[in-house]
Amino acid sequence: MHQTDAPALLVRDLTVSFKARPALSKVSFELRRGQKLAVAGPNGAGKSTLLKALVGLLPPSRGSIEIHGHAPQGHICIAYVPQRTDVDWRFPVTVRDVVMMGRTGRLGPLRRPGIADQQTVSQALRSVNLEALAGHPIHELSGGQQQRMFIARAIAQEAEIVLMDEPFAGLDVHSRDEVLAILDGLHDVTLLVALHDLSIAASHFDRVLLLNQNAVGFGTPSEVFTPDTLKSAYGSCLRMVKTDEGLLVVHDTSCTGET
Amino acid sequence: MSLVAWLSTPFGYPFMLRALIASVLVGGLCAVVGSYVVLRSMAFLGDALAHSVLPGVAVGFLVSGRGDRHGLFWWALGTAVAVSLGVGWISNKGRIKEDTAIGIVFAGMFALGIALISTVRGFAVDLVHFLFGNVLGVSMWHVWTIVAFGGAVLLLIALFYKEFLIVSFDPTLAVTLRLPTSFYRYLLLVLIAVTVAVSLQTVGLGLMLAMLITPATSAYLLTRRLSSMMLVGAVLGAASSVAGLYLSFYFGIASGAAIVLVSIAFFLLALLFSPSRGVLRRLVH
Repeated sequence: MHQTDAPALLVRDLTVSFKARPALSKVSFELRRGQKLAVAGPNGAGKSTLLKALVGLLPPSRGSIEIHGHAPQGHICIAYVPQRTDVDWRFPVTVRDVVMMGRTGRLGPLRRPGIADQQTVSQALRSVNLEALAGHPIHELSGGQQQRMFIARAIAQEAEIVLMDEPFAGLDVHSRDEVLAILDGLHDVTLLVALHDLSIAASHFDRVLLLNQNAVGFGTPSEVFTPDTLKSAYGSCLRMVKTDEGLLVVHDTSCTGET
Repeated sequence: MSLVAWLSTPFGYPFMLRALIASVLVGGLCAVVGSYVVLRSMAFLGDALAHSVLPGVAVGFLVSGRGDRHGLFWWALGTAVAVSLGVGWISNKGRIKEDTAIGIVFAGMFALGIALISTVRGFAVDLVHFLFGNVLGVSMWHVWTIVAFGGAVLLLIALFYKEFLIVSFDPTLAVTLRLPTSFYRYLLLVLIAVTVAVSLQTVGLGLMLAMLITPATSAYLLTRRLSSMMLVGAVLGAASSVAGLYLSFYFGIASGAAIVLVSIAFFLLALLFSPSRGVLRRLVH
């Protein structure tokens, strides 16, 4: 059902409204298979709204979404990694159980997972370095391990498009780097990550979408992170500075006309 | 009296034997279904569902008369299923907050039931039976309805185990996998309704909630996977029923209340001694 020449994701004039108030307005962008997109922007810019609309949780009030050339309905190749705070971590399931949930779409109703599914799950757990914790209940996981478990589930789901909502929020630097290393290793997967940290967006993603209800900028990090676009997204003067240790976000206090 | 005699005497009576079979089956069934009630925070809904059955039972009572207890079961079953679908619809359409809407339906239906029953002379006795059950009066026909409908409920839960798990744990994943989430939500409500209807004779609608959530919660404290939570819950539910019936027989306590009190005792033990979430473990560490 996939058109091979079509872009992995084509979003045109997407508008999503809550009670007649637009949370996202006229957003357009296009991703080819395997591209990695950082969705950045201030709080309330519509990052989560965009991801939820792409999954099919929120209906667009205008515009269109095409996945591999088709409407999103019927696709099971999209995986959504929720914000950690949206998950009931006391639910009685093991890490392996959660990853196995990803197989359900391929299995269909009334069928139990077979040996091939078990192997897929084991392999997914290995690729995120969680085999040792497979039998543990999920409430024992650390923040970084929680994210890695959901990435393993997306792999087990054989997802081609993976959406992640704020995966780095509340992670220490070490866990963050572990998650980033795994994301860097996902080659055939088209990745969309909502995040706050612009330095991560600049150093690990090949496309950036800067949102502030509408798309303020879309392109490579160096195209998007200019003083003007940053200002129209964040209102105040943010600047990206290239240093030996990577890109830094600097708040320019000498900037006049700050709001 | 020897221990063996003490243990075997009650079940020399056929009515006690029927009560034992019925309450063990109900205890197990309620714990399995109740696992979803606990994990999905549907306790209030479960309670409301049980109480909302009263007007249906009352109408059946008025139509078919006091003698026909079989007729009452069909009325209870029909009302429970209708109310569960209605509650599912209300909680979907939210102009009012879900728990408020459920509360209004619950109180309204319960009042309607009492109003209907109060038109009959000597209603207090019958009302007590509906409210607190009368497991000692269970007929063989009732035992077979529990087997048939309870078996059907368990079969559906086994068949749709992985779907119910996903819909309960991660509704968003259910959407991305294009599962029919509303179908499973309504199916689960109907399964709870059927469970309530077949269990009514044992513990009554007043204590129904305890059977749904107490053994399941004890099991939650003792296990780490849903399947084992259901299994351990079923064993605890059945064990509560057996122990409760002994208490009822030897101390003259109302059977439904005795069963529930035993299950609460199990819960307190689980709360103290749970290996992963228990109070004692926290004190030691």
